[in-house]
Amino acid sequence: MPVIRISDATTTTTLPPEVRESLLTRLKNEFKQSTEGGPVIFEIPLGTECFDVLVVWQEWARVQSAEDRTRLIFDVYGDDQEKIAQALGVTYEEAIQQQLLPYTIVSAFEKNHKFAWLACNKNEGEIEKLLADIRNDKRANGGIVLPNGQVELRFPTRAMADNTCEKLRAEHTEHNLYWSVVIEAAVSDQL
Amino acid sequence: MDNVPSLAVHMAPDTVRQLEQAAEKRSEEAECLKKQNRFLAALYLYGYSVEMCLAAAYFRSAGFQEIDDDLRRRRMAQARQQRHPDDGELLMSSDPHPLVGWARFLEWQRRSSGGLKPREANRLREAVQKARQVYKHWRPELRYKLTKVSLAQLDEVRQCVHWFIKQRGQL
Repeated sequence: MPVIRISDATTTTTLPPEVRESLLTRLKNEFKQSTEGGPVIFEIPLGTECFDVLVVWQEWARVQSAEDRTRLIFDVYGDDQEKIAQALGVTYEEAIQQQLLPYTIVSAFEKNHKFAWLACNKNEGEIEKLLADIRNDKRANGGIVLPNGQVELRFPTRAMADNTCEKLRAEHTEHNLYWSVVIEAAVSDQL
Repeated sequence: MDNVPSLAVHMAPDTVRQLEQAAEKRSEEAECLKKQNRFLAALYLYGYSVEMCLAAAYFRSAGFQEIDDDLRRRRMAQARQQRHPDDGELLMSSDPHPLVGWARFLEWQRRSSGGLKPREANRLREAVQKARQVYKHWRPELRYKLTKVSLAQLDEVRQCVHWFIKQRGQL
């Protein structure tokens, strides 16, 4: 599979060097230590040795040029960039608008507190603790922290969402059965 | 009625080959409609035929055989971020059926991959021109309209469709 590069001759960067360096450092650090509000990096297998990289990050709002975003992602991968078929950087809003994360993992507890009370016979204090646990689980599995503090656990492919959902179900037997994958309906009859 | 299987749940993932075949089928069906003087319906199908030819050409050139919805969305998102090096315009508009956008994205993809021969570059430029010509007349909303389509308008689109089908595997 060909890997598409953006030649320096055809594009120019609009990013000040210090901003670029700071973003690059934060992207690299995310591989070592996940941070709340940091970039969420999806490596999407393509059935070959190549993969797509989708980076969802609010900081991209400061980087208007698609070429700059792409180049930053390629740089993070260093020698492994040869395996990247596509490097796409989007903000959360852009990802939602373009339906790039159509598979959402939700817990039935979040939707309905009464459900937690009825199903598990938990009191209000315990429910708050349960919801905090759910939030932490979602964060630890790639959840995106929204400006209002809520965490959305979304994925670009069904397989990735199913894998994580299974993992969550296996990790906490108490929460078992209450995690599920919700699929966003297509907004248009595209090709 | 329960014995009739649902078509919607039996739609297999598209492959480049299937997309090309579907493009030919829609074109053949459009020909039948043209013969029956159903110009609007013919034009409607011709437009989709071009969209399929261009998308198939793009995915083929990018090294894919199968195309699923998630992959398609990611590639369209890229085309909607990326600016053409010549005119600085985004490669693809937010239109859900961007004929010209697919042609520009295809051309960009082939150019970025390198090794394009002058003849191939000319053919890709022609593809963009022809996509523009089709989009002059075609819109998905045609299906809701009673607009009168002239033979000249239909023929302009038809000639482009035939060109795209003839270029299969070469774009």
